[in-house]
Amino acid sequence: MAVKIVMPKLSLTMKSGAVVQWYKKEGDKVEKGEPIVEVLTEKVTYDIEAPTSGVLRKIFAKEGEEVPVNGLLAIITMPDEPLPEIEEEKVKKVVRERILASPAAKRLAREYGIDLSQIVGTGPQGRIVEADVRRYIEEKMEYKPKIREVIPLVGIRKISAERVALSIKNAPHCTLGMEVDMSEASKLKESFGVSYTDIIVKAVALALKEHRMLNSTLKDGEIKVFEDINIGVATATPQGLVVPVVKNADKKSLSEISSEIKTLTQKAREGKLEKEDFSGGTFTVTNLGMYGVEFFTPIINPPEAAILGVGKITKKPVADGEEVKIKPMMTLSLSFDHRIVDGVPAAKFLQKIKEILENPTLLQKC
Amino acid sequence: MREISYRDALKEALREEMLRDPTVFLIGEDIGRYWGGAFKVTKGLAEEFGEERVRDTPISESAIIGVSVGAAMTGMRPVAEIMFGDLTTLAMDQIANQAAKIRYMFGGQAKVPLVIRTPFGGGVNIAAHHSQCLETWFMHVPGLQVAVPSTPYDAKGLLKTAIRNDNPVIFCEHKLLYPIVGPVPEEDYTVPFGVADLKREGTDVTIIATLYMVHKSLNAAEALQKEGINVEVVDPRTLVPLDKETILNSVKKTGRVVIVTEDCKTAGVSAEIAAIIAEEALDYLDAPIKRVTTPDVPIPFSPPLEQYVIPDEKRIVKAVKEVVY
Repeated sequence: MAVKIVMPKLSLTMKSGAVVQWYKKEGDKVEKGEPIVEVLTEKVTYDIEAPTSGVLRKIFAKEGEEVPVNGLLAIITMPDEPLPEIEEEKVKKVVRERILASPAAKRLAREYGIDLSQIVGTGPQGRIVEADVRRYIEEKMEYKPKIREVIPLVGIRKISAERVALSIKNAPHCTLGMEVDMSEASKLKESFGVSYTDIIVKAVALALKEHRMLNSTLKDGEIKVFEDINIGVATATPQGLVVPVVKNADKKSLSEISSEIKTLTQKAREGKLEKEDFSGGTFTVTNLGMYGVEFFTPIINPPEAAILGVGKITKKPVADGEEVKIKPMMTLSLSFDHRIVDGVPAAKFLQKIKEILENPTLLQKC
Repeated sequence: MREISYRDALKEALREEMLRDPTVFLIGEDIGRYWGGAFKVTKGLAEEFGEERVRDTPISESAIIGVSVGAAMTGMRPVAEIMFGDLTTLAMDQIANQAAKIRYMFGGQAKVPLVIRTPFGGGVNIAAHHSQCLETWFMHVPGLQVAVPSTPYDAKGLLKTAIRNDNPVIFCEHKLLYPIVGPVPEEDYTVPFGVADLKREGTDVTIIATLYMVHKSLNAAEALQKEGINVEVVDPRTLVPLDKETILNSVKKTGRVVIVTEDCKTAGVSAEIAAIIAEEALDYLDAPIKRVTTPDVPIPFSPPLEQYVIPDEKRIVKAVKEVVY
C-alpha cells in the first residue's frame, strides 16, 4: 500500500519547512524507522523517518524547496506497486502573499523572528509600520532576545552536536584529575623537538597496553575490548572540532607519532582529512592547555570508553622531599564511562600515565 | 549673547577676514562706496579698506569670476559677489569649467581659494530671473563646495571657513534671510563645513531643510508640537560636503522624513538627500520619504502665484501628517 510522506508540523507556529537533503534516491529501498529526508524549519532541522518499509517511489520536493505543512514530500510503495495518482493541489507550493509593511517594520520583525502575517497593520492600506511590530512584541510575545543571525546546524557542527549529546545521554561520565610533574617530559620535548601532545599520546598508548579496559566500547550489552590502540587527537579547525586518529600508537616511535600528528592536524586545518584519517579511534586526547585551561571535564568521544583532557603546564612551587622546588606541573582530566570501569581502575590508568610522564626510563620507551 | 542680523553677520565675517589676511579682497557689481551691494552686505567696507580691496566692476559676471579665478591662482583670496544667484549662469563656464577643475587638472600645483557669495530664493516679488534656487547646479560639479547658511550665526561662521578654504566655494545666501536677527558671538569663531546642525530636536519625524526653509520648518514644527507631533529639524549647513551621518542618524531615530527645500523638485537638493537616505537607511524608514519643494515651474511674478509655488508652513505641516500615521 502506498504511503505518503508529508511535511510535519513541528511547532505551533510552523507554516512551512524546507527540504535540506534527501538521504535516499527515488527507487531506493527504505526500512521503517530509517531517516529518509532532513527538513529545516525556522528553528530546527529534523529527520523524517520512513513510516513504513518499501521503495521510495517518487520525490515531490527537491532539496532547498519550501513546502507547506502537510504538503507532499514523497511516496513510499511496495516494491511492485505502481505510483498512485496524486491530486495536483496536494503538491501545491507555498504561495507567498504580499504583506504591506514599511522597511523599518520588516527590519524589526526580522530582528525578532516575527512572522509579519501575524500582525495587523495600522498604516495606509493596512501597511504594517514599526509601531505595529513593537506593539506586537510587547503584547503578544514573551520577552525574546533580539536575534543577530540564524546559523543552520549543518556539517561538522551538526555532527558534533549530535555526538556530544549522544555521549552524555548514554555514558555516565566521571572525571578524575591528577597533577603530573612535567620536568622530564619537557627535557624530552627539547631534545627530540616534539610537542607535549606527541609525548602524551605516546604515554597514553603505553598506559592503555596495561589498562585494556579503558580501550574498549560498550554496545548491545557487551564490552568489546580492542586489540588496536588508536589514539584520536581533538583538533580545532575553522570548520569545527575534528578528531584525526593516530593508529597503533603503542607500536609507533615518538618521532613517528610526532610527524603523523603534524600531517594530520595540517590536513584537518585545511579541511582535507579523509574518512580513513578519522575513523577507528579507540581513545581520545584533547589538549586545552595552550588556551590556559588547567582542568576541565571532557566529553567522551562515542563509542569510546574514555577521554584524556590535557591542561596547561604551569611552573609551581611543589614539595620535593622536605624542600620546595619550582616545577612545571600539569593537570590531566580523565573522563571515563562509568558503565565500563569503576573509579579505581580508571585512577590506576591515570597513575600509569603520570608514572610514564615523570619517569625518564619509561619515557625512553617513548 | 548679542543679536545681529544675517546681513551684519556676513559683513562682520568679511571685515574680520580682511583685517586678518591682506590677500582677502572683495569684487562685484555695486559693492563699493556708492551702493554697498544690492543687499547692503558690503556697506561701509570700501570706506574702511579702500577701492583696491573692495572693487566695483562693470556688469559682467563672467569677468568678475574670471578675474577672481586668476587672482586666486596667484595667491589672493577673492570674495566675489554675484548680485543675484540667477546671474551665476552668466559666469558658469568660469565657475564650472575653470574654478572647479583647475586644482585637479594641474595635479594640485594651482589652487583656487575663491568664494562666490550670491543670494538665491523667491518671496520678494522680483520674478523668474531673480528668484531661483540653483544650489543643486553647483552640487553637481565636482570641485565646488556649497554652503547654505540659514542663521546669522551660521552665516558668519561658514563665511569665515569659506574664505580660509583652499577650494572654490559657492556661498548661497537667501534674500529673505538678510534681515533675520539672531545670536552671534563677538569673539572669533568658525563653523566647519560638512557638519549639519540640529535646529530642533524631536522624535517623531525628521525635517531636513535648508536656507529660508529652515525657518518655515521650525514654524511648522512649532504648530505640529501643539498637535502632539514632535519634529526634529536638521539643517545640513553645507550641501558639499554633506553631513550624511547626522542626516542618517536622525532618520534612524524617527523613521520618517520630510525634505523641505526651495529649489525645484526634479534633480533638486531634495532628490540627492532622498537618494542617500534610500540607499543607506532604507531599513529604518517607516513611511515613504516626502519632499516639499517648489514645483518645476519658473517663479511667477504674480504675488499670489509666487506664494502658491514656494513651500510654506501649511504644505510642510500637511506633508508631515502624511508620513506620521
